[in-house]
Amino acid sequence: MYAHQIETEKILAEKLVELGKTSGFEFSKDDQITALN
Amino acid sequence: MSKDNVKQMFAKMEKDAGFQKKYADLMLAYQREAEKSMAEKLLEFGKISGFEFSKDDLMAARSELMEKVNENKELSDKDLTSVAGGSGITNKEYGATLSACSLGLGCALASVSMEVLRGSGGCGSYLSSTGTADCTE
Repeated sequence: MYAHQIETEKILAEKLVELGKTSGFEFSKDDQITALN
Repeated sequence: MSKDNVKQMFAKMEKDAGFQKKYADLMLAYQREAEKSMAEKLLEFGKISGFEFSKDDLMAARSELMEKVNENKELSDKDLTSVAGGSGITNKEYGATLSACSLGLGCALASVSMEVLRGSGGCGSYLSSTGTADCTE
């Protein structure tokens, strides 16, 4: 379960980075984490 | 790179219906991928643990559980044990797993995101892959 969660969170983060990139909002995975904290 | 861009992107979602749709489509694709991956991992885990079942068996068991949840029937320890695989998994952990499987991790993460950015996230409302604000607390 934990491995699955890590894997899917990584995929989700990558998808969000890609969405941001194609929409004019460039940010990294680390930026996502920082924004949530 | 900037965390402000993350916030601005989610802020745009509040105002731009087209962008919301784009995000919802992305989440739906992600949810399907995640569920497929999880089903494969559970099948493999069952196999190596002496509990062989198919993906259809898994989906049928999940449907039964979701029906119970939707009927507001409280899941008994026996229900949880039979699906979760025995002791060692608490109700809380099982609930989190069931939630991640059935509602999608994306929805959960989106809820957290919106809670932080807007002060209220509900169940991800429009950020969920279903695009609904239906919350099953």
